[in-house]
Amino acid sequence: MAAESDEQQMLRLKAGDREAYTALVEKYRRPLVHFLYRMVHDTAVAEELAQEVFLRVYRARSRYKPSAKFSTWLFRIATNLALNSLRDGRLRQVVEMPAGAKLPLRTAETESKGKAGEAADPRPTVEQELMEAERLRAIREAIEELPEKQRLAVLLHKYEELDYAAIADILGCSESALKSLLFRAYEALRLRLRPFATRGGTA
Amino acid sequence: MKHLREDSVVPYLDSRLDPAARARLEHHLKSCADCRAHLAELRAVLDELNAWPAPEPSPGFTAAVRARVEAAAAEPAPRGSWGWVYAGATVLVAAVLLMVVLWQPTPPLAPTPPSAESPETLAEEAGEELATLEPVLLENYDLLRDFDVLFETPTRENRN
Repeated sequence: MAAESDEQQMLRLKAGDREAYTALVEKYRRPLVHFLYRMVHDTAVAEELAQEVFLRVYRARSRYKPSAKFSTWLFRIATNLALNSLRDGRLRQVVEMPAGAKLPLRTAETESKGKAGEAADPRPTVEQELMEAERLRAIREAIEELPEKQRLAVLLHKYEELDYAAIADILGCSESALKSLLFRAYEALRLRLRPFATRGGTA
Repeated sequence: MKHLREDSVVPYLDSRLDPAARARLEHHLKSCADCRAHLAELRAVLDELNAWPAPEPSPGFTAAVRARVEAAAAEPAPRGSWGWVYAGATVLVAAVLLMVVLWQPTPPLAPTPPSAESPETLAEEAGEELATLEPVLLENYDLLRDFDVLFETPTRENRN
């Protein structure tokens, strides 16, 4: 039996089948938490907002039309909630490392590139760990400093990999405008992150 | 990057540029070292952004959502395709009874017809509306609370 589409599952939910909703929740909880975390920079708040998104989808189920792509609708609600949360100013911009997140350790690679023939020590040096933390902070801040629309475009394009039509829909602009917006955003990030790109990264 | 169209660059990097535009762009790159370098830097930035991890949902996430959904299901019927039919019917019944009891003309609640808007505006409105969505309560619900018929909502019917 072929797997049901998101749209079919929403129709089932509309008809009162709350069990059908579990599959949608399991499918989208991860991308939602990821997106919301990168917007609000707080794990607990991101999770709370993600749950709220699913609740609001449930409450609005009677208004869902299958011609509308479910994931676009979902991320639009998530975007609104995130923006409201930020505008409320309830959150301090806490610099928080998510529990269990691993810093991408490029140590072994860096070591093996610099010292051909020697056995590479996979453990990062203190210096390397500090550099990684600094690089991560720079990325986070650079994205946060983008104008709101550019920031949303980057998060939805780079991390959630939504297509141009979906992002343009959510941001309320044309696809062409969205593509230009993304270009300007990545240009700003290129300039902001230039010092890190040349330092120990892959060429 | 003055030589390339602003709306072509990211699609090109995504390998989503249409063949004709892609051919033109690559033709230009053959003779323009500046644009080649610039594109390489943009590719590097896109790669760089991979370094930002995000947390996984907690183990209890789905259960928490289900609990909230079940709680919402126990609330009065929301405005919507079946909800308003039941809501409208119960309000009409209650209004008639009130009229009999109180001898005051109480206009029945006009039920809101289901939305006939296009999916795009519908989704847009849903998005805006949902940003500050509150549970929709029936008008005069407090007065009607004592009538048993109100507790029979579509969401309480026996479904798996």
